[in-house]
Amino acid sequence: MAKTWNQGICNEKSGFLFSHECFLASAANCSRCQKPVCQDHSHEIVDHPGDVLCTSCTKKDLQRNPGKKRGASRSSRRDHDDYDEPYFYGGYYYGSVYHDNHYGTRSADPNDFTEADSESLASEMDEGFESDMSES
Amino acid sequence: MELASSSGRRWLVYALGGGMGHLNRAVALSRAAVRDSGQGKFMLPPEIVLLTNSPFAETLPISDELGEGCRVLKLSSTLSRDKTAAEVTKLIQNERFDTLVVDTFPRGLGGELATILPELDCRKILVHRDLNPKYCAQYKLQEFVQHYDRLLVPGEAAPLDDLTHAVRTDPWLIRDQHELLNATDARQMLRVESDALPVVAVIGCGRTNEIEQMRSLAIKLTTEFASIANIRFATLGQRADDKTCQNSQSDSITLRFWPFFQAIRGVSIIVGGGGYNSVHEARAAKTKLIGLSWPRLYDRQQRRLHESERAVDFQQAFQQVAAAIKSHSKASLNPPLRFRNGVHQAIKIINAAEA
Repeated sequence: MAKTWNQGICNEKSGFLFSHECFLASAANCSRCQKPVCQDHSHEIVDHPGDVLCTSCTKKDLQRNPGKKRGASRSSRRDHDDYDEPYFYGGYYYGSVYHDNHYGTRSADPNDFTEADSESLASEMDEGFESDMSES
Repeated sequence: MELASSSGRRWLVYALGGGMGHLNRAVALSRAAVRDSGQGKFMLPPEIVLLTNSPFAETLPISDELGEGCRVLKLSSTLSRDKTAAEVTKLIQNERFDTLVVDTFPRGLGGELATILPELDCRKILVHRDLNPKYCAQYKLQEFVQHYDRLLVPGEAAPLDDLTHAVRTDPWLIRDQHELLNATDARQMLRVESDALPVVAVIGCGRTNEIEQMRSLAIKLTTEFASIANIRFATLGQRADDKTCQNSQSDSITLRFWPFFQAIRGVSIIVGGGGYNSVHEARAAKTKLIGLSWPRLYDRQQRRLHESERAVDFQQAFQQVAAAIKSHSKASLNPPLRFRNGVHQAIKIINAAEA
């Protein structure tokens, strides 16, 4: 049975170590899985201008074809290198032997938590209240 | 810096927070405090210092709105949380004021008021707009707000609005009913020459990427409906590539004036976010609102918008605008208005607390 998506909002999960729901307004549907995604989580298909893949399908593509050129995010934010997008730092599969980053794959090291990871954990717990001075 | 006031009353209005919501509400309250003086016990207006870190504060004529006796203290929106907190703490500890009005965040946007507010020897008023209940629970706000003398609930439900010292008012607006431009003058301000076609105003406020998305929607609506509607894009944001896009399609439809509310009687349909001002201004003027709820850490725009006002995405917003244009009739423009501006009730409540 086809998966049911929540229309109108981005259904992609984002986050480096812990995935969060996105909830931005959707801007397109993934050409493969039909998931509604926001601009940040939609990636143009290199050979099919106008069509997009969600971040999850793009990551699956990259795992299957590590050398394949990934389409750029459609986000209007162009102040960073597309290849630095955190969605492609890699998914962690605890209990298995694999995690990857967007430069390739390597064996998992269970001890390679960093300070950044602990900040991510804190953020996951408190949602970042009282830290972002641009919020409202 | 010491505040000097001929009335002897000094208010500090804390309106930190992103976007325009906090600033707009604080300006609405402050201008009412000035204009409502001369009534009752207080014959002279208080001297007001309004504290903001809104990025829009840099370009808006806020002082013109407030008049003499009010000052705006702008903190850079790019300061870190710690630096902002340090600036606020220094200001509050060095200033002398007898009323502190805090908009939305009881402990301050960065939590910087948590330790100093309970020690302050002044009247403390909290403007209690909607807030994320998780934030309320995590910081035990139900207990913390006991440090405030009054909670003013400006026209919508809020998590702590049933506390005994909470008082509800009508929504706070930056213009009273009699101050709104009539339809003819409003359309002139909107650069609309004829009243034959409906006017669709797309509001570009909030974050930069949100403004750009609304700009794109306005351009798309113009491309599709220019022959049957006047599309306008109202924004206070500066386009990042303005210098290289002087002749872009959006230039001809872009308006940059504030407050937009003054011209609302010239507008047939508003496409905006679900923020406090957009929603309550549209409802007060009985103007059709098509609202997209933007995600916020504290504010729940989805909840504020009624189902009849809500568009779940840009595609649906586009379709709703198309339907609204087609069903628009001149008779539906400018229905009689009967809104009350809650800022005047708020001023009475604050003055009563001062007396």
